Parts: sequence; structure tokens; C-alpha cells
Amino acid sequence: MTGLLKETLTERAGAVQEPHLDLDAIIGTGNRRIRRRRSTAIAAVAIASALILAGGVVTARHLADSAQPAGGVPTFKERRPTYSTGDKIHYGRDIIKVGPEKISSFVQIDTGFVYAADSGAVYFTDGSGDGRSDAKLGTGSSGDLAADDSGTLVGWVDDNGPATDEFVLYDVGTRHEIARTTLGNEKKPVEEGLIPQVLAIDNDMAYFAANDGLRSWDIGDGKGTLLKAGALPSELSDAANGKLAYPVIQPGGAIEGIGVARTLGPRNVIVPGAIDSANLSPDAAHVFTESTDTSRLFRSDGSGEIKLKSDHALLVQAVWLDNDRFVTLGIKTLESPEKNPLDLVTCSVRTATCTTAVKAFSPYPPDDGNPPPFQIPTGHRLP
Amino acid sequence: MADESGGFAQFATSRHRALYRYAYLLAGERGLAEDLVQEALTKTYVAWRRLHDSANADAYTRKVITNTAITWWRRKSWHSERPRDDVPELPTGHHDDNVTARLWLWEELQALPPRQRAVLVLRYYEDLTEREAAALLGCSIGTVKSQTAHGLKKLRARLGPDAVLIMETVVAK
Repeated sequence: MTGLLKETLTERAGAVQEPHLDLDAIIGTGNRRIRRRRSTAIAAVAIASALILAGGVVTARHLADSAQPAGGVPTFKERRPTYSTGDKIHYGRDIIKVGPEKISSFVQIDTGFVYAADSGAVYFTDGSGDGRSDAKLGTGSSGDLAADDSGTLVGWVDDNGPATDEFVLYDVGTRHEIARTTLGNEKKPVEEGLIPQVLAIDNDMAYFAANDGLRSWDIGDGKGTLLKAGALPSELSDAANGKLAYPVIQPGGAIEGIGVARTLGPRNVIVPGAIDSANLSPDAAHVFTESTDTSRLFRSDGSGEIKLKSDHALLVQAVWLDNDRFVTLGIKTLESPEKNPLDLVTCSVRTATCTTAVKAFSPYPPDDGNPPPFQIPTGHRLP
Repeated sequence: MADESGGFAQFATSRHRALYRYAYLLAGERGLAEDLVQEALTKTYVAWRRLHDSANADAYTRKVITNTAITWWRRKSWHSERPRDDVPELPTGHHDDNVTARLWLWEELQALPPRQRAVLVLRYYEDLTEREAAALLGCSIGTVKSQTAHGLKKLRARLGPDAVLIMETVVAK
């Protein structure tokens, strides 16, 4: 088969006509980037770095003590400013060693962390193991994970073993898969190259980007519903507390803004403009949005923006800790950003202020085309 | 700056065809491949001073193309209209089993997860070793092996026994 595969690739590559090389545009854009020394929001975090924050690996006893409720059972219900570096999760001041593989992406649940490795394996750790043999929950090579703001459910797509991609919902609390379905993936994807994804878990509902469009999955009764046929994964940004955040797309394809509603589709734009991503607070009362070189916080009821006071020129990505606070990556300046290291920043909706939670957790790294060696618990690998 | 842009222009002009072909095999779509190469070459230009020579630049550009492609697939954030099917014309001739098998194979390649497709393109089109592919993708050799195995397994499963039989017949000819 591999002989034919090589023939096919060679033939296709040889048959495609080379487009015009627009050197002027490339050099012009490059010169602007060099002069301004600034990057887009995504590029800013896409840059590799080496961590300078030193710290010891905590023992299971230390971790259990620090996060242990009165009942005596270790818990991770508390969300802290968290990031990972290779085989370590920096959970506030605690450091959890993971293994046998390094972290490609991860999420926090109430009993620990679920992480995906580059190999596609999905693991769970609560810090109680030896840091070398975490429990393997399954496989899913795309590396995207989804979890609710609380609870022990996690979701991913198993596209490693089965011929048809399968959505997997797993309850780490009971150590059981509660759903495994190919629903919506039997047909070809609506767009070439699209890969199915568990987009969000919100209480008793999960949201899937299937080959045939966006779907909801009732976790209680195990039934799926096609919400929007032919829709792309990016047409649902987030789900929380029974509400959905989604891009309102004009007929021509341009994004008019972000809408927040109980159903997908009403054209009530809460946040105007070409928004790249939107992240709802657990109570869905607020939404953090990002677009090129800009991030903003809005009230989801349409009553406007909350202007955050911050020492940082740009806040990138958001992981909500509770209804009031979220953690984000702070970039000090857009002019010569490489002169300042990255900070982990906590912002409060109530006070409309952002403060540094972990100062200089990473130097601003060189743009070498590699993904960064650190991740934050969004469930997606930072590019 | 003039020397830099001159050296870069020479590099970009001489390598554009090969880079575009590589991007096309990853993206499966001409417009997207063009965007990938444009973005990768822009980053290469910005980094030109520290890349020093064209060999470094070529590896760097391919790395950027690969990671950008995987990122774009994940984000799927492009909403502008793109052609659904821009399969280039195949060589004229009768549609024998060989052509049919290649058509099926190409179609199914598009459905693979991006990292698996990238690994197959690097191994079977670029002829990279597992070590070279791992270095370019920024992962372990074991990951390259497993992704290759998973990709081939999925192709076989999706194509079904009839298609596999045809392909084996074609390969045996």
C-alpha cells in the first residue's frame, strides 16, 4: 500500500500548478512585522519558550494536604492559576509530575487533571501516583479535550483506532465511559480536512462538531440532536450554564460579532467585530473575546464592555477560575514584546482589574515555528 | 536589509515550487496551500538573519507550514468561501484500477487527522526518516511511528477490502 501511497502523493504534487510568488507582499509584511515587533494574539503564545520558574515536585501527600477538604478525600475543585511544562503541571504553588508521556494539552476536573499526549493517548493524574504511570483513559490523536467548569466529565474524539471517528465522554469520577458514539461522523465532513471535536461540556449536555454539523448530546438519556447541519466547529465558541456563545456570520461569510443565547443562531450580537474566539464564564454572565492584538471582556446580556485595568498590553487566552475570575497570559508590550517575559495574570470581573499571578513564568520566546513548551488548561494545545 | 532581502528572495524563488507542493499535499486545497506558503515564507523572512543559510531556512519553512496547517485545521476559523474540490487534473488515459485506487487513496487521505496526514506526507513523499520527521514535527520518533501506523490502518479500514484488494493488485503489477 505504501508504494501506491507514494505514487499518489507524487502524482498529485506534480500535477498541481505552482501559483505566482508574491515576494513584494511577503517582504512588505515581513518588514512591518520586524519594525513593529508585534504579533497577532495567537502568534504571541505560539512561540516556544523555556521556563525560568524553578520549583520542586510535590509529593502526593503534600498535594493532598494542600487541596484536601474536610471530608478527607483529595480534591481539585479549587481552580488555581495553572500551566504545564512538559511533564509537570504547575497548579498554583504545587507541581504535579506526570508520566509516562508529556503534556500536549490538558484540562482540570474536580478530581485532578486530564491530559493528552502527542501520541494521542489521554491520561488522568491526581498527583498521587509516581509521576511515571498515570492512568490511561483512552486515545484521541487530535489532542483536543473538553471539560465542564466543574465536575469529573471529560470528552474527546477517538480518531486513532476506529475507522469512523468516535466522540467519547468519560466520567473520571466513576472511571467509566458514559458515551461513545459515531453520530454524525458516518458521512464525509462538510468541509475537506475538518476533524470532529468535542467542543464543550455544559452540565448534562455535550456539544460535538461532527462531520455533518454541530450536534448536542444529552448526557442523561444518551441522545443526540443536530443543531446546525453543515456547520463548522468554529461556529460554536463555548457553552456554559445553558447558554451558547457563537459567531454571528453574515451571508458572505464575514463574522459580524459574537452572539450569546440559549439556542444557536439568533443574530443578537453581544460583541461586534471579527472575533476569533469567545469564552464564557461558568455562569455565562460574561464573555472574554479575542481578536488580532485585542482581547476584551463583555457582559453577556448585551449591556456592554467591562474595561479591565491591566499592566499588560495584551491578554491572551482565558481559563475561568470561577464566576468572577479568569486566568490569562499577559504580554507586557506589543512594541518589542521579546524584551519582557510572559506573566500568568488573574483578572477579576467584580473589580475590573488584572493582577499578576505568576510573574515571568516564561521568557518571551523566539519564533522558531515550534509549539510552546508550556500549556494552560484550555483543552487545546497552544499552536 | 538589502542583502537580507536579496538572499531571501533567492531562497524563496528557488524553493517556492517544492514548498508549495508540500503545502498542497498537507492542505489538499490549492488556495489554502498558497496561504500556508505565504505565511511560512513571511515568518522565514522575519527570521532570516538568524537562519544563516538556505538549508536552515528550508527546514524552518517546512516546520512552519506543518505546524500552521495543523493549527488551522484545529481552529477551522476561516470562513471565507473556498473551493470544495480543486483536485488537479489527472493525467489523461483510461480509468484503470491504478487510477481508481489513487483517486480513492487521495480522497481518504484528506479525511485523515492533520498530524497523521503530515506524517504520511513526510515519510512517503518527502522521504524523510522517522528521526527527520520527528525533528520537523517536534515530537518523538515513537509518535511518528504510531501516527504512521494509525494513518495507514485508518486508510485500509476506510477504503475497505475491495479497495485494498485493488491496490494490492496494482502494487503487484
